[in-house]
Amino acid sequence: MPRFFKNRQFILFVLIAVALIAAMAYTYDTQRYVTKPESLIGAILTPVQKLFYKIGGGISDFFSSIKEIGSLRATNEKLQKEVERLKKENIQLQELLNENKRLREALNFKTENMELDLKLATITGKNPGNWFNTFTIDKGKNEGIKPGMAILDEKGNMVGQVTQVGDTWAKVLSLIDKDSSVSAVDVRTRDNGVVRGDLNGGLIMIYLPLDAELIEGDIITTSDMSKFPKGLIIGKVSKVVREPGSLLKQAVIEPAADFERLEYVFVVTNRINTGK
Amino acid sequence: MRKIYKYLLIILLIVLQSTLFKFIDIFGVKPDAVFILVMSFSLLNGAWEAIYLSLFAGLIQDILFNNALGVTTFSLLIVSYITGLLSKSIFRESSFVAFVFIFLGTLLYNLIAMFSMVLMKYQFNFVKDFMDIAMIQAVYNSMIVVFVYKYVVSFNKYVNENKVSFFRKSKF
Repeated sequence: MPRFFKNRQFILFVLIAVALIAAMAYTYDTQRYVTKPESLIGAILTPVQKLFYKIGGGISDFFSSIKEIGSLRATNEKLQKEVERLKKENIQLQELLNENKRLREALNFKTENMELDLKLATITGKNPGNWFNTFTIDKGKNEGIKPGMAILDEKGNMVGQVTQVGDTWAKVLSLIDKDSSVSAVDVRTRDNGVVRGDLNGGLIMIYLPLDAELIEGDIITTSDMSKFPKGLIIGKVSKVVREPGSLLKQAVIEPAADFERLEYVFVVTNRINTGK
Repeated sequence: MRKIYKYLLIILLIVLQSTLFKFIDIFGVKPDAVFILVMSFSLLNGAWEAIYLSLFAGLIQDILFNNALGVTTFSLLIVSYITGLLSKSIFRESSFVAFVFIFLGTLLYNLIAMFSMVLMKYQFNFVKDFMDIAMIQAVYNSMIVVFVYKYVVSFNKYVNENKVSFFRKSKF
């Protein structure tokens, strides 16, 4: 043992290891603007990554379009029918909207739904490891991105939140990461819970009370208790389970967004002020 | 000045790994090319190299992608430093030795990563996730190293000695 302490290399190794543990403890679970050197490294590598990520997107598009050629006609017919149905539904909803507006005005009801301010960003790369589900985008502090903003996919489904922001780039924590937790609500029954990620790319909703009446197929959105604007779609309930011996229910959620094929995302730039 | 190629290669692999490697995953597990390269260089050049390269490769990955700064670097540093120390007493240029080191190294690497995640209050099923991710990655990484190790060896020779041309020697 004493021989080790005379070895300069070993002492250096231990010092670096301790410094890294300290850095880990200091930075985990934080939302912050990154420091200048970090921001610089990201600024240099982000354009290169963006190029390669585009190439990758091109390759997968090429192969998936070859696969889809056969089923295009059937899909088209199905979509036509869907459009017809939605048109009818839309007219009905328009009526309801007008009625709602009239009644609200009559009651002097303050409108709650705020408009979302969206900013388009391109994904530049995904976490190279297997344990974490994070990715980087090409917009940062200079474009007004702040830690804690919600990220939507092209269709408006929620995919994650901004955690660390550089000058021209930002890190995003996916919904399906183990570390991610978002306060959520069942649209139909208004049951509140917390949606977390599991390691297998799925979502799970925990802290549901035993008398929660949510069932398979219900839509889950962000609740107004979260720091995100409410009503962002998270996913659909695919199974409700009761942990034996526990006083709470859990629901397995199928995410609405396709996390494998993300290319462009929207950053929701309005945030609810939680005073944090 | 040829040493700079080593660092450029690491940067290139980090970029490739974060952008294109999602196409070559098996059961959702990606191989770790940067880990393989850093381990191979530690095996060939010893412990000092292990410290430099793992700090370089690990910090870039952590800064770009991880929320907790140091998760990758810490596990990479420990595993490659041990490899660098052990490499004194073995036949370094054999692919079989590299195979064994990468296999055991990947397991240890993931184990350390999991322990640091436990400290960060992540909750998971330890044994199941270890088998699902670390085992598959260990097999995947060590299969890859069997095929690429001889190129890494000649690249390493090219970087270290200025006389031999890497491209002429490896029949490209």
